[in-house]
Amino acid sequence: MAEKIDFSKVRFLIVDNNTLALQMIEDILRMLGTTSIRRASDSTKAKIALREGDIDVVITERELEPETGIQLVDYIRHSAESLDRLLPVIMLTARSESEYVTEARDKGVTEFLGKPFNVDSLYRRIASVIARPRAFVNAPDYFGPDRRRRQQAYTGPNRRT
Amino acid sequence: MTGRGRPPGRGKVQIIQPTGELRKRAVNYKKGFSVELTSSEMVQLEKVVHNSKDKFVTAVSEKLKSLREAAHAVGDDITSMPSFLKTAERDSLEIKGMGGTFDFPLLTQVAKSLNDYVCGLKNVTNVHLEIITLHIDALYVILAQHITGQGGATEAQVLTALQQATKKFS
Repeated sequence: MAEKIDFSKVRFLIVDNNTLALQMIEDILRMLGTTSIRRASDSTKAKIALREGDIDVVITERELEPETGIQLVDYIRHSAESLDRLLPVIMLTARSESEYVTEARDKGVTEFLGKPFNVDSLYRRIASVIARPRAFVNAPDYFGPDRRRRQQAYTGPNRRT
Repeated sequence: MTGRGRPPGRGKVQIIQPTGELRKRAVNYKKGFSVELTSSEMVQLEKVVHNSKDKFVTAVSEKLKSLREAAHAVGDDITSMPSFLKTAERDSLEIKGMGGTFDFPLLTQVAKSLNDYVCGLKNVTNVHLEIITLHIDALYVILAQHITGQGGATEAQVLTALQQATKKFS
């Protein structure tokens, strides 16, 4: 039997300064059955919503004001005010060039999707953060989801533990 | 505060296994959308996007109309250039990000060309302003003539011409 996701049990925060994008993402989440959706049109409002809690997944644009979506991720991952440093963050952004993908990955974004997007790609990322949660890495220079996606067999001379 | 996880520190690398709390709460075998979408579920979601298409066309038309007016105003009052460039950068990025979702990939390509151009501009002259205006006009035509998909040979030529102009006068 196939696994399903009951979206009425998942609480979302959507952050985007584009009203149409905000509305469309909300409409998609409503169609999925989500009932708890909070919207923020800038990073200040997003931080207020995050401090209030009861959020399971964040979907954010990179281009925000007054701070960027990357700074918002930094706030979630590193701030003493953050209620959940392991919160899944999907970055859905029109800045989709490779340097922005790398930046997002290295700052602790869980999933990245460039705009324009199709619903299948968006759904797969949402389903992934809910149904296939990833381990986190706490290292001297990185705190965020494990960036290793592939298991590769080691063929070197020394045994690895 | 009782935040989960530890702030980054010095020394050893720590692997924090997911609690799976959200998965336990939401994933089941009875209710909701399949983790791997079925084709009928996909159709339902695509309808949501399709229903927003008219709103998208209206919103972009309004943005382009405002940008056109602002471009003409800059010709008369050069002091408004910084705010015009900021608006052009923001609006072109938004159009780039939405066009393809609504089956206007050409709109996305022209908006990307405009966004790349505006982001790299420093000392703006009338030639630069003219190239920006040409981009806005091209976006307007794509939308007004409802050119979905990649368009035809003429559209490809227009896109190439815009890209050449941005390279020559950057």
